Amino acid sequence: MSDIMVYSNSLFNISALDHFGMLIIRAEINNRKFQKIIKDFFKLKVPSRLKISTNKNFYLAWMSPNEIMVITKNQDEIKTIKSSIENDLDQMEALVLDVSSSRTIFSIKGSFWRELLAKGSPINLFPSKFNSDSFRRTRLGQVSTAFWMIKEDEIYILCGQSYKYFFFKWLCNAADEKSINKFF
Amino acid sequence: MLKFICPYCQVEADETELTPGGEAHLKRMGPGSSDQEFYNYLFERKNPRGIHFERWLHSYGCGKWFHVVRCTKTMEVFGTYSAQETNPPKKILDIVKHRISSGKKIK
Amino acid sequence: MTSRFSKGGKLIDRTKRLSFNFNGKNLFAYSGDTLASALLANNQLLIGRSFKYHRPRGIVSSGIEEPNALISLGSGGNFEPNRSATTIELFDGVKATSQNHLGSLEWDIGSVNNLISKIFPAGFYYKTFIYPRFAWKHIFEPTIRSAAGLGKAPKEEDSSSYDYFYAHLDVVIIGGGITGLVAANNLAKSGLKILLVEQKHFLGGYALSEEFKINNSNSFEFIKNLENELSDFENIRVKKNFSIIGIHDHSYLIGSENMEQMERNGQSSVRQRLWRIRAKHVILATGAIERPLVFAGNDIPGVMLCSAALEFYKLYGVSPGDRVVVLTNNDSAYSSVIELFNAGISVPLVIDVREKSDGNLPLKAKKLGIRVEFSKAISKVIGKKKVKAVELCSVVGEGAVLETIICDSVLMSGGWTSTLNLWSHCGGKIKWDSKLNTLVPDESFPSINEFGRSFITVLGSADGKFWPSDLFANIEKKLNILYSELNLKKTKTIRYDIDKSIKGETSSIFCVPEAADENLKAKSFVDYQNDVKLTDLRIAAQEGFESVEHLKRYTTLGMATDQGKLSNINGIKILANLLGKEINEVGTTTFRPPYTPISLGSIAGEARKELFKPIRRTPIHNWHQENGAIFEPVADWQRPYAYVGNNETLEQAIQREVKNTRNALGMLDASTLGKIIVSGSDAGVFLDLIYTNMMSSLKPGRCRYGLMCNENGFLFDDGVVVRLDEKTFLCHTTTGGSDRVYSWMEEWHQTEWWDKKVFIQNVTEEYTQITIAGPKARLLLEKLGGLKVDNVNFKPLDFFEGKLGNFEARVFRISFSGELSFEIAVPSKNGIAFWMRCLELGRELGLTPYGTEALHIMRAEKGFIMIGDETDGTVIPQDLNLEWAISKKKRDFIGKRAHERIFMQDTNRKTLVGLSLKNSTKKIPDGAYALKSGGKSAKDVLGHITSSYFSPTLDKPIAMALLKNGKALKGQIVDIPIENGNILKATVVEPQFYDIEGKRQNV
Repeated sequence: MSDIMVYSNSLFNISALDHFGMLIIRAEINNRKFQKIIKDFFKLKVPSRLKISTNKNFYLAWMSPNEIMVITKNQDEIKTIKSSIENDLDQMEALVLDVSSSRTIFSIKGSFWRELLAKGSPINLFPSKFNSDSFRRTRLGQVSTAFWMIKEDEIYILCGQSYKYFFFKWLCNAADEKSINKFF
Repeated sequence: MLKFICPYCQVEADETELTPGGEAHLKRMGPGSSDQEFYNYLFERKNPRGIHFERWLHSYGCGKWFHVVRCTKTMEVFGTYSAQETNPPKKILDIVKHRISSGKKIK
Repeated sequence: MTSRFSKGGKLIDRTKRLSFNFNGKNLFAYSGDTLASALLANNQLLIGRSFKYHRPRGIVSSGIEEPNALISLGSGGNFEPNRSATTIELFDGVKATSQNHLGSLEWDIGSVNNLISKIFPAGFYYKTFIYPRFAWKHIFEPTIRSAAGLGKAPKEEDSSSYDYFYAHLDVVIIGGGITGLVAANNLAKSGLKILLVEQKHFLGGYALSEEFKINNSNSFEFIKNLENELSDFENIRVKKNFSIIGIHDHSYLIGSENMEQMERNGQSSVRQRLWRIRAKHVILATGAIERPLVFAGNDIPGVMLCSAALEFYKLYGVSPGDRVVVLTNNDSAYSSVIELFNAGISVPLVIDVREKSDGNLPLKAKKLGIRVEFSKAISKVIGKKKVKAVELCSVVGEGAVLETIICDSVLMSGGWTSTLNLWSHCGGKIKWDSKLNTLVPDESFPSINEFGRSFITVLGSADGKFWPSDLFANIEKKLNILYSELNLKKTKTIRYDIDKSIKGETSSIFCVPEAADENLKAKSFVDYQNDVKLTDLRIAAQEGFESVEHLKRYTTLGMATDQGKLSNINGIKILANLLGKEINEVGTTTFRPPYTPISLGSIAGEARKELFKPIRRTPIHNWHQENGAIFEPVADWQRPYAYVGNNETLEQAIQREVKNTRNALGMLDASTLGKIIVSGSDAGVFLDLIYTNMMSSLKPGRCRYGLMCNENGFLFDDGVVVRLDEKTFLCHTTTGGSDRVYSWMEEWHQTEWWDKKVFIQNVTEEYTQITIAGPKARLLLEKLGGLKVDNVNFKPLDFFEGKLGNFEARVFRISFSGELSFEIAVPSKNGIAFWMRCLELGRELGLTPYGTEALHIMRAEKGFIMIGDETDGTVIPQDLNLEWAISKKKRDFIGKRAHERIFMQDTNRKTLVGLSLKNSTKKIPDGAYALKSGGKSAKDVLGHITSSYFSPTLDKPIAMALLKNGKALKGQIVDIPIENGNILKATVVEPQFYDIEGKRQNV
């Protein structure tokens, strides 16, 4: 009954990554006090619009004007982090939720990832518009997703946990070597 | 296939990333309103061939509602602004006025 | 006969022979051929039969405008009907079949229509098949359908794959002819991201065939150089076999890339790719299409456009015939004449309808000794399945024959029509330019983008500039305008040195002879594919169809798969002549997408079979699957309907699951229920507005069943609300309602009550939720450990958060089955582990999982409503006896004002009741009507059945219904008509059937 989701061919390695912890923080993220608390806590600036900031422990992603997402590379820490940051934000109108189980992250390795994403997303994926610190919420096919670059040839894609089987199939289909357009 | 700039993300969002929400700037009629007022609020909608104020949701995106002013005939877009503006901003109304007066056949 | 020259043909590779099959015959061709050129090379002139009269038809053009040469391609899963032979790049082993004939292509039984074609005039179908009424469906339609029609629909599933691709570009250049290439070359250094697309499998367009001098070389060399130069630019993508089929609002383009060849040779797994493009600017370099002339017999195989003959010769080394007669109204035909003559083909006569021409080309033809007759026309073409001769006549007059010329091919040229379909897809207007004798874009009414600006530049022959020097002048002028529009620095203009001497006029005469008699007119075809003749247009005009749009629909002119690319202009000109109006007064028909047909497969893209629609699964899904679950779709979710064991039927499984839960212990995967967090200092106040109930008074740690109405007062979702802590609520919704309710709350918060300090978050997927129900439920929780579950410490509607055994969990004491019941939520990552733990500990308690049908039966036994069964978007809570869940204290909530309307309080509204059947083992059909006892007509209808089951607990059928003034009907008998005229008699009862006092759940 294990859900091993791994696919590879000559162009891509696709795998579902289960080790991340995720928090949603809702607050007015332009608030200076909020920005300071976040910076002190994560040692990272609150990301600006459509951006993701990162250091060796965390990703902080801009979700909307009143939402950021924290992704920790170590899932086990998430409870502690949640209660500490909740504590720090206590005086503010804010909501912190553990959503580690809600979402799945897929890694796509392979330099043609733009070609793959352009099969399903209506956004502009030229490197001038989508690059190393971009974070974009959009759709891929019929599934709501968000994605960002890890390296030149690797991208992470977030999708809802209940869609992961469907989405994995979608990714594998899109990754077919002989269907990759050489456009970018 | 329309596209609008989401005033929150500043991205050009494709129509397939958006959900339409009908006429903008309706005033809600709750308890205490007359039957006619309530009827108008609930059912009377403008459907102009021309300038229209609309609500759209950036559903495959930041999840925020926003307002759009566009021409339903030519599909021109005059501007987008936050859903928490109860009236269209003057800046956008000026753009509408300017474009109409500059000889564009809108009506 | 048509044949292959021993040498020549720019696109074919004579070292690579291909074999293909046409109607069972194995034929040979070369790599680079189109199916059309290959057929002509094999002297296969007759390609198909026409739509209405089954007339023999041959290839008339060399491109996408082809109306006649439609064939079926491939077989089995590769079968595709109605492909045009002129656009198929041949591949080895291809199987092509002709269409639309009964019997063989050569001897079509259906062609008897030929003899009676006079009784098939315009509007024939409308006029003839009206009476008797019944006959249409049973006699006329089946007969017509078998006689008419094009290719057959494929019988097997399409074996190919299709894909989408989204692209954002600065400029898209449509057309890879000389104009498009020159435009790309000029823009190349701007750094703009440019996509140049060409619908054919080669670049260069007609300039490859009709060569002219440019920059000390010829156009062919010039094009090859341009191609090479462009490939060096990083910012330019060039795509062949790529058609833009539509230009839509906000400069959105749909493109179809045909990768058939690559699919065949194994380079691509995709047959067609549908491109969705956003372009800042579009350059239309779509060229022009030569028009046919209208004369008797102009559809006989062997009659071809001049330009097509030249292309077949220059590109594929194929001759259009041995003795070629040319009929023209312009100078451009002479370039074909000269080339074919020089190739050694006999040209006995060029018939020019004009009085004279001073152009260089006719002059050159005469110098070569070619006989040219001015002011003459063709009276008619002689021949049936192929051209045998033409009869020469004077342009004026009825067509008296002056001379008969033996020939096997007739080439015609009626001037050129600029291809402007894409200019007008998005609202751009076109007009007729009588001087240029073509359509031109009306620049004062362009297609506009979201900024209200024109975003399409029309260049070259698409702009009505057909001669090389005019064309290049046009490109230079229009690109200069474009530079300033795009705010580009003007780069050094590239200079082109062009031969300015070739030029000429096109006459407006196209329908000859001018006073043709009826017999000739009845053989003069305007629309080949739909068999629309000159006489049909005359009849339509006489009958008052004066608008082009009406004429088109009445006669079917231009409505075939070629969308009138050859016929429209001639049709409009004829109508204008008949009405004595100018062409611009008559107007043109509206061009609509798609410009060329595309396959349904490419529209579907990858969304087929398991990728058709997203499916949501709970973390327990695999276990369900392995344990006999039959799934039912609920919203996007897959939920177990019941678990069917080895020795039982589905019905038996459902009954067993209910009985087991009522008597021992059941377990349900309820993960799909929506779970929404509403948190903030105004959370209670906000929820008071969303729900009909008072939620702000709910104590932390407690649960409350709540209802949500829309502004019209209608009930649209329900669920249990839990107050997790002072500022945080957890709102459960129905499975189908999770996304809808979440969006609903966000919408109200963002657009109406943004002053309320709340955050709303959908956490549906975060938790796996499991219902433990049955008399032994408490025992299982005790075994799990960690929670005092006695009735004092954990009362009904209590909530607990903490450790249940080793699991972080939230436990809610809520019951939808009427049994002692706990709903337990654990993080989804632990979902399956928790499910397995419960199974393990519950084994000795008789724990059995149950599905949604058992859930529904148990809730119906208890009289609990189900959104979507008891509600249908017109039901208010009061109709369902749920007044108790509507707060009287609140000043406002969504739906309150609506409930105050007088008709919402009408006692005659349909209200929820139960129905009881005596001595019946069968349930009432779902959705059946209930009538007054003895009632016969619609006015006796009281309402309908909303839920109906056979209750295993009570061992009898039970049902709920919404009946007019249901409260007053208690104890009465109602009639329920079922099949075969039978009537069930049911007694109206309270809508609760089991444990009405609720003793079982409160123990």
